[in-house]
Amino acid sequence: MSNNDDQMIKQLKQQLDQEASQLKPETVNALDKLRREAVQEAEKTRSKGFQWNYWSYAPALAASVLVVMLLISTNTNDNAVVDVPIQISEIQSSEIQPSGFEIAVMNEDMELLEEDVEFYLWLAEESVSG
Amino acid sequence: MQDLDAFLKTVQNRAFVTARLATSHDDEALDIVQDSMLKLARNYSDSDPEDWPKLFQRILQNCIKDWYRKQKVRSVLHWWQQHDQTEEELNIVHDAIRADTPQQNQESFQLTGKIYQALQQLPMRQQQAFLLRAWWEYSTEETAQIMSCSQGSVKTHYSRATGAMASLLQKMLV
Repeated sequence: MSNNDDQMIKQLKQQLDQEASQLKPETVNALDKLRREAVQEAEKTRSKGFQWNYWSYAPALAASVLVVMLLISTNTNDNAVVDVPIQISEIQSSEIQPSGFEIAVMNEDMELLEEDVEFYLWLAEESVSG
Repeated sequence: MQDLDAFLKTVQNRAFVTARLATSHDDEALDIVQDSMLKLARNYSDSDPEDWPKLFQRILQNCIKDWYRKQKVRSVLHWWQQHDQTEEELNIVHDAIRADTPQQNQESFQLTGKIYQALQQLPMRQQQAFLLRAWWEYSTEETAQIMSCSQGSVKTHYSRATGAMASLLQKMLV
C-alpha cells in the first residue's frame, strides 16, 4: 500500500468518525430508541428462554421422582422378603406381634416352601421309578 | 442486559453511517440498523459479549446485502412493467441503483469530502471490505468471517476498492 493510500485511508477514517459523531439529533434519538427496543427484545427472549428451560426440566424432574419412587418401593419389597427371617427371630425373641403384611408374606413364603418340597419329592420319586 | 445496551451504544452511530453509505437513505439505514440490533438481541444476547462485535457486523452486512437484493428486484420489476426490456436495459437498472448515490448524497446529507463520495460509488462488496478493514479495523481474517468469504476474496476486494478510490478521487479532483 502506497503512502497516498495510507493518507487517503487516514482521511477517510477521520471523515467517517466525524460523520458518526455528528449525526442529526433526530437520528441519534431514533437510534437510541431502536437500541432500547433491541435490549427489551433481548430481555423478553431471555425470559422466554428461561421459562422454556424451566418447563423443559419438568419432564426430567418428573422422571427422576418416578425412578426414586420405584426404587423406594422395590427396596421396600426386597426388604420385606429379605427381612423376614430377621423379623421372625426378632418377633420370637421380643414377642412383638408382627403386622398383617409381614404375616401374609411369611405365610406365603411358607406355602411356597411346602409346594417346593412336594415338587422335589415328586421329582425324586419319578426319577427313581423311571 | 446493560452490557448489550453498552455494546449497541458504541456501534449504533457507526452502523448507521455504514448503512447510509450503502443505501444513501436515512430511513433505509435506520431500518437496517434496527433489523441488525433486533437480530443480535433475539439470537445472540446470550452469546459471549466478546463475540458480539463480529456477530453484529455479520448481521449488519447481511442486512445491507438483503437491501441491495430487494432494491434490484424492485427496480427490475418496475422496468419490466414499463418496458419490454433487453439485457442492456437490465444492466442500466442495476447501475442506476448506485448511480443515484452521489447526487442524493450531496442533496440529502450535505456531505463534504470527495473521499466519502468516492466510497459511496464503490460496488457493495468492495465497499464492505474497505469499511470493515479501514474504518472498523478488522483483520483480513475477521473481515472474511464477517463477509462469509475467503481471506483471498477480502484481499482482492480491498485492493480493488483502494485502487478504485484512488482513481475516483483523481477524477473528482481534476
